[in-house]
Amino acid sequence: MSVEVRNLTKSYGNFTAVKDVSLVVNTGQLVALVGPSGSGKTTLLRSIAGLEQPDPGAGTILLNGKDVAAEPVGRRKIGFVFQHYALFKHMTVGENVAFGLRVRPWRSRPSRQEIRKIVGELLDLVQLRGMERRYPSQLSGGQRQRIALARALATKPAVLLLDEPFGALDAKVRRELRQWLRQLHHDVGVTTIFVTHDQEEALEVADRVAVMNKGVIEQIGTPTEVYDHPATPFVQTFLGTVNLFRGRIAEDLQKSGETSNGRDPTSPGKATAFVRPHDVEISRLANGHPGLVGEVISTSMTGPTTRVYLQLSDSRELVEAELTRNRYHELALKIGDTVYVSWRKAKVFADDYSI
Amino acid sequence: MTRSILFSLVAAIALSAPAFTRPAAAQQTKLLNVSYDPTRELYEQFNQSFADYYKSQTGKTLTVTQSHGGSGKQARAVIDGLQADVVTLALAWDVTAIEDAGLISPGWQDHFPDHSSPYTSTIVFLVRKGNPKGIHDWADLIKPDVQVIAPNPKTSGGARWNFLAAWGWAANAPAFDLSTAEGKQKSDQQAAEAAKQKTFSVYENDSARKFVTQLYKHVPVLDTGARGATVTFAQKGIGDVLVGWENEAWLASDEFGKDKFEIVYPGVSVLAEPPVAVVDKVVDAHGTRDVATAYLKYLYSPEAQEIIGQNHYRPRDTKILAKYRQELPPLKLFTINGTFQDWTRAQKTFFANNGVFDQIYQPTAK
Amino acid sequence: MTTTTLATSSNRRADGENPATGSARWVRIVLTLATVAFIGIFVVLPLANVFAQAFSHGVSGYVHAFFADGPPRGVHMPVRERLKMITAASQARQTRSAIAMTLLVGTTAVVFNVVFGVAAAWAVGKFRFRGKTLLISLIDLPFSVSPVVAGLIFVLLFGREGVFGNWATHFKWPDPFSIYWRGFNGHWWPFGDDQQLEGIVFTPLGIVLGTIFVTFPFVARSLMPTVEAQGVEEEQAALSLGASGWQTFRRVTLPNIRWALLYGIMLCTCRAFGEFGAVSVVSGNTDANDTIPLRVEKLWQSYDSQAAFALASLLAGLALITLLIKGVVDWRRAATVRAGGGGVL
Ligand SMILES: Nc1ncnc2c1ncn2[C@@H]1O[C@H](COP(=O)(O)OP(=O)(O)OP(=O)(O)O)[C@@H](O)[C@H]1O
Ligand SMILES: [Mg+2]
Repeated sequence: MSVEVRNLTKSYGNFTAVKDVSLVVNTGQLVALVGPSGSGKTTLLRSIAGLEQPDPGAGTILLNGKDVAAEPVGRRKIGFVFQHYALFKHMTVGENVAFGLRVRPWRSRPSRQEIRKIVGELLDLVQLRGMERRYPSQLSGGQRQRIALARALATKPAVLLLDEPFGALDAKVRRELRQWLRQLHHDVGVTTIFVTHDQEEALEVADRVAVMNKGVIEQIGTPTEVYDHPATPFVQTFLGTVNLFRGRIAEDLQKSGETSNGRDPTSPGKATAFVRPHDVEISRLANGHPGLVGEVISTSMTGPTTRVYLQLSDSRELVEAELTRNRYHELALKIGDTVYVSWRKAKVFADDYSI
Repeated sequence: MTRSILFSLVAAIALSAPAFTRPAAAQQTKLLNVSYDPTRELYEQFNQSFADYYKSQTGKTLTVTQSHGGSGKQARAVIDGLQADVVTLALAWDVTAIEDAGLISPGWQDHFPDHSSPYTSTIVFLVRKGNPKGIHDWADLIKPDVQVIAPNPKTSGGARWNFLAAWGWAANAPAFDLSTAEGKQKSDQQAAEAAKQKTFSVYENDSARKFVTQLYKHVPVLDTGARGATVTFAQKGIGDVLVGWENEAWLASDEFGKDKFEIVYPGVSVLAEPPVAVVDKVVDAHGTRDVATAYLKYLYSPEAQEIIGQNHYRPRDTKILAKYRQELPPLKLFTINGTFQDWTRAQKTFFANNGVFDQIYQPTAK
Repeated sequence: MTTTTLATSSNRRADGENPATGSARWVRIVLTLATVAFIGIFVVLPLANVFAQAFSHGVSGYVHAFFADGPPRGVHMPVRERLKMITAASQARQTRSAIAMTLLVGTTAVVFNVVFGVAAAWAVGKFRFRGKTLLISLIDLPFSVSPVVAGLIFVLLFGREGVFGNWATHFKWPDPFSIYWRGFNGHWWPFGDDQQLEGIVFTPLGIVLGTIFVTFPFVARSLMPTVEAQGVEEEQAALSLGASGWQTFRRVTLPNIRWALLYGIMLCTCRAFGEFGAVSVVSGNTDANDTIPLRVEKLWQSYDSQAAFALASLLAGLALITLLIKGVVDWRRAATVRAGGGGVL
């Protein structure tokens, strides 16, 4: 089932949480909704599910092309997984998963045996077979999350909405579950929108990524598109670390190396260059290129790469560079060394654009 | 669990409504008698007696419900809508208040004999055995170390009789032995004269005011009703002397034994005439006028007068009164009409808001 | 019961044996002894006294407070004896009627308060709306209004001279004790009544109103924290899984609040059965309107203290049963929590 949101606005009192948002998710797609805390991700998701009503006259939600404004939550064929699981505390895992089936009117309700079978299958799917009898409080965070998912899947929803499914988990478990979710989506093939404020997660798992900020979707695209070709400075900053070099277009900025496209770099005026740490170049010698001068403040090893923190001598700004292990050893950097900084690739936005 | 709650609900309802599945019983006649505090035992017995009588006369079953409390409070409740078919209160003013509210027609005092007052009573003292504080007359009540127990005249009828008794004594009101024909005649004569007078010096009597002011300084707590005061004195053991109804004093000494208390008759007291009346508005609405009238009339029958005597009220029937002479000795009494003209005047002067009582009585800060 | 709770909590502390507090063991002993002594003097002793007084004339005396025969007909006996027996029989009859009245009033009040308490707790706990704080204060109002004033409020509203006096004094309703089953033949409504009552104050209806007023906060108040803590997510999850509103309430909301609800019901019952002030005002001192506490006072004022204590012993018994239930509930709840059922109170 496809999901389409048209010009949705949702306010709480006089605070607008979602402003004129439009979004199309095709059948079977896995879309990630990213953005900082308070940007309106949950609100958008809840509006799609029908847990919130859009402002009067402000927005339409279409499921499979049909306006669902009059459909209550229970009839939208949506599986919703809440940010904090919302498992029924007083029910066992089995009862939780079976809930959606048991509350059906008796005509369409599966028999006890069928329900037991479906629950068993779902628990297999989320790899928690044998835990039927436990209560939610006896599960780990990741297990609870998976039960919440199994519960939502039990009613065979046409759309799955996941609100920060891995929010409360530690990094390692998150990484595992991410892969698992990808696999699950592949197996079940249900249209899925999931919220996260972890960009790495979004880039890794989703078919497409929608970046939200202050109630607005700033950009939608494939992970490569939004990462490599950010439409706005916000998207660029939000997806991964970036260094900011402020300067005057064509003069200062030109001197530190070639610039990438963005705004017209030749037009004069103030602008900022955004450079990812792995695009920063460090050399011991001023090798012909016009470069900036900086001092090494500290270094840290993170797996296969090494991060070097520098302070520019003219602007006193901090720059983060990511070097391969080899390159780092080659340079033999020590704290206090003076080096030359330039970049391989940068994205320049004129300064009338504020983040 | 829901089922068990449901079950207990059903059980409770079944217990509380035993009539639930019973076929309709024969229509019952019901009567509500709103009375003052101490008459509970009197009417419990009288009601039984009347119900038997009524059944023998009409074949109908009668249930009389009782309500007892401070006389003023009771009158207030009737005015506020308590559906009393008859009121049997402590003093005429309270019935007048109901009359003023439009529920009783004027002239009610002439509907039954003796100004609609089937018995009389008076105010006496109850002291602890051996009379350790030596209390013999009104003057002794204000001796320095005496604690007096009396109810609040604002709410209690008996308390208002107390007040008038004390005031009348201190004002030297002329009193007569009403059990003698001569005394009765003198008293009636005095009342007839009083009715003609315009001003009443007794209300301005300074020594009376001083005495009563003193007296209420000796009262540590004012109960709302006469029975409350008796309980305070007899059951809780507070105070040296209870000033109150003769019948209350007797009941307390009956209940707790003659070895606990002594009744002291002061030299002079007041003749209390508790009135009865049919509440016209209510009986007309309920269609109970006949039975209500019969009920009150029966109070004057020998059977009822006997019960009245048994409960230490003074029967109107002189023959029966004579039978109880031992317990209800003759004493000098002044009447409200002879001394204070009438209840309306006494009520307005003494007990209305900002009346004499409010001026002299300040609750002691504790 | 209270002692048991105290004991368990101190045991629990002892299990954890904290060296920092272990040195102050004697403090714990002194405090425990002080508490036990305090409870002994102020709770156990008076309670024991109630039962001792109630049985001061033996078991037959106790029974006599509830069931006493009138004087035998046709048998000659001294007048005073006769009158005494009449009084005793009438007193016992009124005592029984007071018990019935208390059960009826208490049950009605509890049913009403459960319905409205759940609704109020729900409204306050789950939704945001203007005037919510005001609503909470209003729910709490009966706690801060003296019960006597509460009773007077009803008199001022529904008394003959009250705001709605004209309507209220002519308001007719069936006497619940006279309702009987008459079946459906010829009627759409299978209940009949022998007796109609009129008016609101000074009738059992007034007693019910007064009782509901003073007991209103108990259910709502014991539910509110739980309902609020529970949040809306579980219910929304249920809705999103296709449950109807009723199914959601029945299967998700109710199980989560059941202990709090049971506790609220117990508090409400005890208060409803024990209420004196408000009920005293609206009863008009009429014997037919007596509840147990009013009756206890009247018996006491009739110098029949043994009967008064016998009747009071029923209330004391109720309190003990309530404590017992509370104990079982606490224990069951602890068990469910241990099992992971998460029954939050
Ligand atoms: N019920 C509500 N009443 C008022 N304001 C609300 C309500 N729910 C959300 N908001 C506001 O709307 C904005 C968006 O909230 P939302 O929950 O959608 O953010 P989010 O992007 O999901 O954030 P997070 O990542 O922290 O979950 C926030 O500023 C929040 O304060
Ligand atoms: Mg959120």
